[in-house]
Amino acid sequence: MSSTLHIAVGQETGNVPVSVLYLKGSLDANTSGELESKANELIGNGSTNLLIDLNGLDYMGSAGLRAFNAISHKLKDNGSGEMKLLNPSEPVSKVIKTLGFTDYFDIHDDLDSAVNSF
Amino acid sequence: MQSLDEKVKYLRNSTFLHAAPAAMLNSLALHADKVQLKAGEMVFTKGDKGKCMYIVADGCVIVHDNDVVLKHLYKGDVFGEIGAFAPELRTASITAEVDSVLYKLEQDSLYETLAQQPEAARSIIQALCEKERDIVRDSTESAIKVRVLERDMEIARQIQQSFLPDALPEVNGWKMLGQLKPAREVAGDFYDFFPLTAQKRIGIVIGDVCDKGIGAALFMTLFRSLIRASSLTGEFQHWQNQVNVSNTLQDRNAILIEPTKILQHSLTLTNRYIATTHAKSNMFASVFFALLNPENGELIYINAGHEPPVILNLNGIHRQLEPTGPVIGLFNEATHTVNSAQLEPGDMLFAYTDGVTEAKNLSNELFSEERLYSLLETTQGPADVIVEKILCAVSDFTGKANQFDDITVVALQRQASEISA
Repeated sequence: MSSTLHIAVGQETGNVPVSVLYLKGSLDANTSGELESKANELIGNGSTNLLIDLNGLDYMGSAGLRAFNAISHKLKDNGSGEMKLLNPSEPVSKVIKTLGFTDYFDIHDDLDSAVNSF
Repeated sequence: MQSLDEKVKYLRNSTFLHAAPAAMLNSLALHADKVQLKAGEMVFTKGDKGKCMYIVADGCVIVHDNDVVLKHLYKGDVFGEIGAFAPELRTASITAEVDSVLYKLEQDSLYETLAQQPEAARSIIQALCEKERDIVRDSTESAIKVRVLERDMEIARQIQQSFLPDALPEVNGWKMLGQLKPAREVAGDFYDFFPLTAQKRIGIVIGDVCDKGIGAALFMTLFRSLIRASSLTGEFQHWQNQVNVSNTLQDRNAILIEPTKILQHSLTLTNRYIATTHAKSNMFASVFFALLNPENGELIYINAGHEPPVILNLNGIHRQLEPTGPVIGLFNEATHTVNSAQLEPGDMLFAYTDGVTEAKNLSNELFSEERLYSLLETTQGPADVIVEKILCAVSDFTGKANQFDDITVVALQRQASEISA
């Protein structure tokens, strides 16, 4: 009954190196901590540009936005670096629209253009 | 190769064998195997079969149940003795926290030593009694801690309850109600109804602070209070007028703030306050805040990232009040538009938090907006009947599944009888 989130990490290179986090499953209050930990681990290992692929999510709650915001702040506090979002699935798009954060995060629908935008 | 004397020393210095006779220690030392562990290496997992006990000679291991660390064990501590003396499965898992050294004693060699040296049994019984004494002491301490925590949570629950309106405004021709079912002792959801006497409006709020439990509950009290207090700035003139009855009409109306301004003022102030003062907490809330003119049914509102409330009439869902800006507390520069809607006699505004649509059953399915809307489309009657029907449907749907999120509903119904009056 408890929700699960799978996170796979890939590396891409555009103008700068970009770490891509592919999320699958449910990003909610029970699992958002795992995303933050994984992002912190990448940031700790020197990643400054994070792209989060939301295509594999079948559910996202407001805890997802909270995690994105925390990651984004962490990168900004470190001085340089950015977090961007990629390919929100349909249920995720709906949450993003309701919570009203389309204007506050850079959201892409294509991996190459997302990677090259860093 | 380690000398026998050295092994005997480790065994004697352990909590379990400190009272053992020298002959027993010598016999056990002959059979004690040294185990070297790297940090992170597991010794055994809860539920494993096991017939040996271990003595920590160096380093540190953790006793845990999945992610929950129950205890740290250091040099001289002993574990696994239950499995060594009884046909029981391992009751917890053991993992080395740092590189560590253990001595392992097999059940066979323990029993063999006890058979040869009956006096050794006394020291083992003594050691087991000491262990039991420690377990009883630990569980008593835990029970006391749990009781203190439970009492604190009950106090928190009661205080939080006082942040919800205990009596809703009674306005002729209108029925108002709100219900909140927390998923845990305390909630991150909130709702509010309050009169704005100077503006002759009723404020209606429903909100959902992200996350759950005590953190969300603390912020719920902040969001709710900031929204209500900042909405009441217009009341200042009203209170002054009550004190200075000699004020002219001009004085009285001098700083009467427009209702639309109250909505914007209140949510902008709350948003900026939380986004700046509490930036590090990353806490935010979705909020629907409306002001009702009970005279004519006009409703003005800001929907800050909240599930769209709906207006129901005799034909079902007449309108959805979509978001007019982002959630509150995250984006300092956010702006919110004020929209308006009309509640005709018989119409009902129904607002809810996502705990309703995202309630899960045992198969992990969501109650869903579709189910909610189809119920709303087919249900008529007084507000309390409709709300009760929806809450029952959610509860029937979730069945025995744990409530995942706070569930809150708010209804505002303009009575149809007004037409005939």
